[in-house]
Amino acid sequence: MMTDTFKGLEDGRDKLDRLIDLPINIRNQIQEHMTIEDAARMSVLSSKWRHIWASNPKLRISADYYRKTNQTCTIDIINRILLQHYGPIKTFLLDISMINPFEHSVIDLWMLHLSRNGLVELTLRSLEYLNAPYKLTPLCVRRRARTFESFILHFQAALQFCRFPQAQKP
Amino acid sequence: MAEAASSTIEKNNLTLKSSYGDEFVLEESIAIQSVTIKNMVEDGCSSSVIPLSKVDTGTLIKVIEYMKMHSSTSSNEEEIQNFDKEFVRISIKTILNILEAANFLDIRSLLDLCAEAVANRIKNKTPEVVRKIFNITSDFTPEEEAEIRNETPWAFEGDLDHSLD
Repeated sequence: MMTDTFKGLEDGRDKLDRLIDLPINIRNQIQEHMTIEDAARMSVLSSKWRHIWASNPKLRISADYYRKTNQTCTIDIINRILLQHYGPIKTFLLDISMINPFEHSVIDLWMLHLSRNGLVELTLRSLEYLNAPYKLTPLCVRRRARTFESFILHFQAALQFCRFPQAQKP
Repeated sequence: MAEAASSTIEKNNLTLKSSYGDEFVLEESIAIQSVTIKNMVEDGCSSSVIPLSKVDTGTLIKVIEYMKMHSSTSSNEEEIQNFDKEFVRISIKTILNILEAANFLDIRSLLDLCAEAVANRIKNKTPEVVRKIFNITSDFTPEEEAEIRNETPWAFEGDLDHSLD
């Protein structure tokens, strides 16, 4: 029993720096429970953490962080997040309440970009009532994209959903 | 016949053996919350003792405690939620042990509970504090670190938590 206990200590299980030895899916899973700022801050921890946040296939950009920044800045930040990301973005959540309706065309660009990058699940939500709902049109999404028919769309907001034949399939 | 049938309805038990050699007997219906164990049972490899060479005794006790609670039919949702909350009020070292075990045993809900617990220790903290908590050594020069911070300046705004707990 004693020797086994020592073996346990010797093989490094007492060291805490085991976080980075976890499989990438678990490190991603840990970061999914944080805001995108928390995850991004981890890139300075060490070179092994450098790109973890930017490769997470689940991207959630929620309103918690908008509150700290102003509007133009918000769009700029999301553009930068999408530029910095590498690998597919399978799940995307965006809170659009802080984007001014007259700038909704930028969301079209994001949708087009995402639909070309393996998007499977899209959530657009708004924590506030929008006077002018965002219109997601088929033109915003690359047609005939292989993943397109399997899109799961969640609209938790005052959004207008335009003719979208493929997505209406049960 | 009826008597014979009822007497043979026994709960199937499995024996799990930790890396330290300690053995724990557990009902099969509880143990198969672990997909790894479930697959072993289905493949017929579980007739004897199931050795878990990657899970130490202390961790296995915690994992069994979790599986028992989550398979209990007498506990309601609120009790389970409270149990989960208390379950992760342990040292970060123990959480990481359980996280690794949950990954190896493929117990999804436990893995997620531990992942969330790890995330909660990181949330809103400065990188310096996170390095201390997880014993991470930075291999960046101060110039490199400043450059990386500059890539996501929005992540470093606001009041960050400097405390270790």
